[in-house]
Amino acid sequence: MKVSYKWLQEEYFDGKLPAPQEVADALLFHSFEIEGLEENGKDVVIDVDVLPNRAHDCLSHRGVARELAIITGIPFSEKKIEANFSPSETTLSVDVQDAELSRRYIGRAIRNIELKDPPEWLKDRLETLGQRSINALVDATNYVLLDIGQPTHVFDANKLDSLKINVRLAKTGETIETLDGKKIELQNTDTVIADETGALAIAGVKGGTKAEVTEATTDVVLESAHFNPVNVRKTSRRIGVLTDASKRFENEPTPELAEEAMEYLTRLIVSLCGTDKTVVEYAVDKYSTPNAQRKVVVDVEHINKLLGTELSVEEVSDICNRFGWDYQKMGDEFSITIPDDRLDLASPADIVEEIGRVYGYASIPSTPLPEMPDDQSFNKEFYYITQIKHALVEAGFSEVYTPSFQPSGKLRMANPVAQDRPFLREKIDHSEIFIMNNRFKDLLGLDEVRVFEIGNVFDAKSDERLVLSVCLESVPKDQPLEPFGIKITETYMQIDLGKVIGNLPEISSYEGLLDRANSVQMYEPFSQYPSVVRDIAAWVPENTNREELVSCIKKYTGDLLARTPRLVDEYTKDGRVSYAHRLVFQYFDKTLTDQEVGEIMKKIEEAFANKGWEVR
Amino acid sequence: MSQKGHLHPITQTIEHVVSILNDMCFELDFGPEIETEENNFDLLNVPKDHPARDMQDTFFLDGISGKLPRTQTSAHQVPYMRMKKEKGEIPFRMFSYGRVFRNEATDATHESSFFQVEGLAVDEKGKITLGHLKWTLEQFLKRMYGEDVKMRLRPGYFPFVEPGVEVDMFFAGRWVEVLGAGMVHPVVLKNAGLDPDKYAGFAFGVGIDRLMMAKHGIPDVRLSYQGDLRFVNQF
Repeated sequence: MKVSYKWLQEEYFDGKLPAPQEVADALLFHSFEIEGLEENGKDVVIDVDVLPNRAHDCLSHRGVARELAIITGIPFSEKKIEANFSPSETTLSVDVQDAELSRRYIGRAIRNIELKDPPEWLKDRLETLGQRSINALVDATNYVLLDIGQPTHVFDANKLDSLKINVRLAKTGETIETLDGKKIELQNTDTVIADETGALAIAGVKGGTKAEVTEATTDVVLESAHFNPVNVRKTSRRIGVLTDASKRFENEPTPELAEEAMEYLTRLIVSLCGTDKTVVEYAVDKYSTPNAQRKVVVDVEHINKLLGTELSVEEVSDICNRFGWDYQKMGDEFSITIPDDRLDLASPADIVEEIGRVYGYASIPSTPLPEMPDDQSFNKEFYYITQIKHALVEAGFSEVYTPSFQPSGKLRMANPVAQDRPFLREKIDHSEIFIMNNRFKDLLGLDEVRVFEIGNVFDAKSDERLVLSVCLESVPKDQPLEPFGIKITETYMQIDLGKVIGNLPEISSYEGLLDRANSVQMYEPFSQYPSVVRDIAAWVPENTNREELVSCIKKYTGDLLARTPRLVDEYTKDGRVSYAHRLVFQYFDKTLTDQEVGEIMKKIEEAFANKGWEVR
Repeated sequence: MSQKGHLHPITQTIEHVVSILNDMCFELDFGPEIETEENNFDLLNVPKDHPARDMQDTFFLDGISGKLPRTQTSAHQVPYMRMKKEKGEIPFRMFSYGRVFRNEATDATHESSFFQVEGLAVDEKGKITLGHLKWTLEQFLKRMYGEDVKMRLRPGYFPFVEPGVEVDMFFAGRWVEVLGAGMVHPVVLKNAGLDPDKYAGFAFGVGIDRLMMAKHGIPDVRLSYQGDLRFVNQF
C-alpha cells in the first residue's frame, strides 16, 4: 500500500516523525515489508507491504500510523474533520437478504447537497498516491478508504427506483454495467446492492452506472458495510475486477469500522458539499452479529521461553501500554482485552509475536543449540544418490535438472501453468536437451555428450518413483561403463533407483561423502549466438613446443575464440609432428559470418607458413 | 573417455546444505512430492479459504482430489513430528529437501518448480527458543557464505509459525531476502499430537535455488532447469 509521509505526519502526529527512511526502517524491522520510497514533490511516498495477517486493520494511513506510534513511542493523536449537522428522520430502508452476505450494512440519505470542486488538499493527497480526483463525492469515499481502511460508496438517490436498498444474491444471468463501462454477467453466488429493479453495485467490488454520482447530483445514499470476505474474493477473482475496496473487504476489517466510516464520510461530504438546505438523515444500521469480546491470558515466563529473552514484567507492561491495550496484571500473568480491530490476536502465541517484534528481533540474543544425544541417523537414500552422482561425474556425465512439467505423461494438472506442459512427467526425457548439447560439443570442448538426471516420475494414480536417467552418444565397446555398479548398456536408459538403493547395505555415517570440494566458480554469461568451428593441422619440427602453435593462433583470433584451441589429433612421422587444433569462434552479441572466420584462418595459415610450418 | 562431467550447482548447494545441517545434528528425511492437501495446508494452520489455496498458487491434480504437488517442503512437518512422537524421540532436529511446485508465471526469479529445504527442531518448551533459531540461521549462513556474512530478522507471516520472521542477508552490497522462519505455531504442534504447553519448536524454509544464485552470481533461476551444459559445465 502506498503511504504518504506527509499524511501520516499531519493527520496522526503532533510530534515530529523521524525522516522518511527512518520511518521505513522502523516499519521494516518491527511491522511490515517495505517495497520502496519515492519522492513526490514535497512528500515522500512509502510503499508498505502490509503482512497478510494485518491486512484487515493496517491497509490505511491510520493503521500504519498506529504501528508507527507503537514502535517509535511518538504519541498518536488523530485529527477529526469537523462538520455541523443535526440528523433528521430517515426515509431510507435497507433489507439484507442474508446476514452471511453482509454482517453489517449502514445506509444514510443526504439531501440538497451541491457538488463543488474538491479542495486542493484533498486533490493533492489523492494525486500524491497516484489516484485521480473525480468529483467531491467520489474523492471523499476514496479519502476515507485510504485514511481509515473502510471502503464506502455513494449512490445518486434520484436514480434509484425508491429509497429502498436491497443486499441480495444476484440472479443467474443478471448483468450490471460497472463504473468503468464494463458489462458484467453475474452468478447466483455474487452479492449485489440493488434497488427494486436491478443491481446498483457488486457488493464490495465495484459500483454500477445506474446510480452513478455526477456533478449534477443533489441527493445521495451513502453506504458503509461489512461484506463476506470469501464471497468478495471469489467474485472479484472470477470477474477479474480487483479494486481498493475488494482488497480491503477480502481481508475482513472489523464491522465496527463501518459505523465510524459512515460518520467520517458524512462529516466529510457535509463539509465539502453541504449548503444551508442540506438535510442529513439518521443512518440505517443493519448489524447482525458484532464480534465477541476477546481476552488473551499470557504470562511473562511463557513469552521469555519462546523468545529466548529475559523480559521483566515492567518491560512487557511497557509494550502493552504502547499498544494501548487494556490489561490486568496478576504477578507475571497478563490478561489482555483485545481491541476489536485486532482480529488477528486470539491466542498467547499471537501476543508473544507482538511483544517480540516491538521489542525487536535484533535485540533477541543469539543462543547456541545444545548438544544432542549421540545417536544421529543418516539418510541412506541421500547417501547412495550422492555416491551415484559422483560416480557418474567421474565417468564423464554432467548432471541436469529438467522441468517436472512435460507435454506428455499420465498425471495431468487441473490448472497447468503452461498449456503445452500439463503433465507431471512419467519419465525423464533428455532427447531434446541431448540434441541441443550435442551442438555445443565443440564449444564446450567435449569428446562426447553424456548427461544424467535423478528425480521423481509419476504415474496416473499420483504414485511417484525415483529414477536415474542417463543419455550418452555411444556405449564404449572396449570397456564396460559401470559407475557405482550401474551397468550402462544403452545410449538412453532410465533406471529405477528406489530398487537399486533398496538392495544396497545400510549406512552409519556420511564419511567421505561430502568432502568433495564444491565449486566456487562465479557464473559467466554465455553467448546465445551460433559458433563456427574450424580445424587447423600443421607439420612442425619434432622439437617445437605445441604452445607456440597455440599462441600463434591466438594472435589472430583476438577475443573471438570461445575457448582455448583444443588438440584433436597428433601424429609423428619422419622427425616431424602434425598437430591438429580445433578452433571455436563466437561473438558474444552477434552472429559471426563464415567470411570473417575465413579471413582469420587465412591469416593464421600465412603466419604458420612464415614460420616454416606446413599446413595440411 | 577421460573427461570428467559436472555436478549441477543445485546439487552442489544441496551437498553443502546437508553437510552444514548434519554437523548441527539435523537428520535428513524426505517427504513425497505429491502430498495430501491435509499435510500441505490443513495441518499447517492454513485456513480453508486462504488465498494461497487459490488456483493461482497451487497446482491441483486432474481427477484426483485431496492430493496436490506440494507447494512447500513444510508439508513434511506434521507427518514427521507424529512419527517422532510415536517413537518417543523428542527432542529432535530434522531437515528435508526437494522439489516444490507453485502455479506462478515464470520469470528470472520464479520457476513453477524449484528446490526448497526445510528445517525443524522440537524440544521441551524453554529449551528451544527464537534465540536458538537465530543462532542456527547465523551458523547456516556463515558456513554457506563466509564468517563475515551479515544477517537480520524482521517480522514475516506464515500461517504455520508464530512469531514468524523473514531473514535477510547482506550480500553483494545489498540486503537480500533468503529465507522464512519462526517458532512452530501451537496449532501445528497440536495437530502433530504435541502439547504446546510442554513442547516448542522452530522451523525454517530456504529456497535452494536462491542460495545457489547468491553463491554463484546466477542472475536467472531458469538457467538451472534448461539442461544446458553451457551452464552446468561452468561449475
